[in-house]
Amino acid sequence: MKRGALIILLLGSLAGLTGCATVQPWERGTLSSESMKLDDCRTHRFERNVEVYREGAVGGNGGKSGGGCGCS
Amino acid sequence: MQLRALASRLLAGALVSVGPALLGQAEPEGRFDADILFSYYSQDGDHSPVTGGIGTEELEVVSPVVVLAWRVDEKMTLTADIGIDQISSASIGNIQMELGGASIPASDTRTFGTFKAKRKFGNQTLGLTLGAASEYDYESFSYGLDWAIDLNQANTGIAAAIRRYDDAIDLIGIDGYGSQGPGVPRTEGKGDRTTTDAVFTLSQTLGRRTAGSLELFMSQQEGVLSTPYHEVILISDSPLYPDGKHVAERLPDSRDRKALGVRLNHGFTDGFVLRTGYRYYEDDWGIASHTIDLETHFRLPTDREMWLYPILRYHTQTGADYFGLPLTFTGAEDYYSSDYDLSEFSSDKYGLGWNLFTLPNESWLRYVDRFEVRGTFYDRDDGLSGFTTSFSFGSTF
Repeated sequence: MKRGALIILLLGSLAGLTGCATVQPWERGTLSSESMKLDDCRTHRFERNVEVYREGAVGGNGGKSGGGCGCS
Repeated sequence: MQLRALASRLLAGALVSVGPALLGQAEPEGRFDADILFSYYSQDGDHSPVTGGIGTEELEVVSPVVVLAWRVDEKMTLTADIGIDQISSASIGNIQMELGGASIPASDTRTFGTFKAKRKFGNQTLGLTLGAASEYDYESFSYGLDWAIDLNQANTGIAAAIRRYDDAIDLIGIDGYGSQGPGVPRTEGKGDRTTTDAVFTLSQTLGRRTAGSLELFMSQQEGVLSTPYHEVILISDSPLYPDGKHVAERLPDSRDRKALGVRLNHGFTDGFVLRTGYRYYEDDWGIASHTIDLETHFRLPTDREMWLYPILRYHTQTGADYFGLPLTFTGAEDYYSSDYDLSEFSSDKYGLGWNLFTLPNESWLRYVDRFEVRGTFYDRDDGLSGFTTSFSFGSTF
């Protein structure tokens, strides 16, 4: 119950933030650099798959959970 | 004053619109990206599940992948990932030895392909994914749909994706062949496993130098979730098993998993970016975990966009309810496993990465438009250690 409330609070907080920043296209110099991208870089993908199968944990940061692993 | 501000806004807007054209980016139609990704992973430890939680976990994986992306027109993109993993491990040797060698290959090959089609409809994008993978003991087919929308002048993004995997598994039991009794999973013949993943993502620009995202992940698995060639060493009073009785692991036939991930990237300067991530995970097998990712990206003083970054990651998890050390189960329990991936542990990862991106109409070493390399060491407090390196290079035609 506590955990559910925390998740809702987190989601609500971020949703609340959506209205507070409008960066114009000509102000996005820093944001457009490769290092600011929110996705993992290409070479991180393989590591994510290793983490998924070595740790019995998945999700929340990319990765997949099915389709076999090639890990035994 | 107001007129001046308006003029500068209009000029800046025009530059944003025309700039890419001047740099050769305005005509994405027909553009074709080709990237080659090569990864290597090695690990060793002393808790192999194939030998009941004792014995070497030595494993090597070599994974070349080709990634192709064709921007058919301004709205449509087709991508394909095709790869062949080559896996050699002590486990395969152990399984072969127990089975007499003939039933499985000397080393494992995993072949996979994923194909995606994405189309833009105004500020929305719809995508379709199809995938297949094959290994000596399973075949997998997957399909999925994804949707995304850009709002607030692309400062807010909302995305949702659903993907299903249908796996057919050859059950290879090295202990406890066939039926193990009423209501107990079979360890020979064929079995099915289905996995349905759903992901909801909210990404938000939080300022000129800050961006963040929140990802909620839910996954439901059903079918054969135990691995028949994973052994458990049971306590036994029988003189037939003086060192314990070896049987196949037993795990439930369903698993619900949930995770919540938060990312926050902040550029302190144009040459120093901090990338952070936190994830909370839990499932109905009793595992709960916390993971922190940290990367500090330093831009190198060159004409091209080049970044060097140290990598840190910390993970801690509770163990599954069904995990136990060798010689702790009696066999009377409903479920049992000595797979240390399901145990309680903490792990650290540290490494270094380097990325290079050329300017449009320019290349590096004549043909390369982008290059990435990273290497990490992995340490788990149960003694497992690993090393991963990946590099990728690509060109746009």
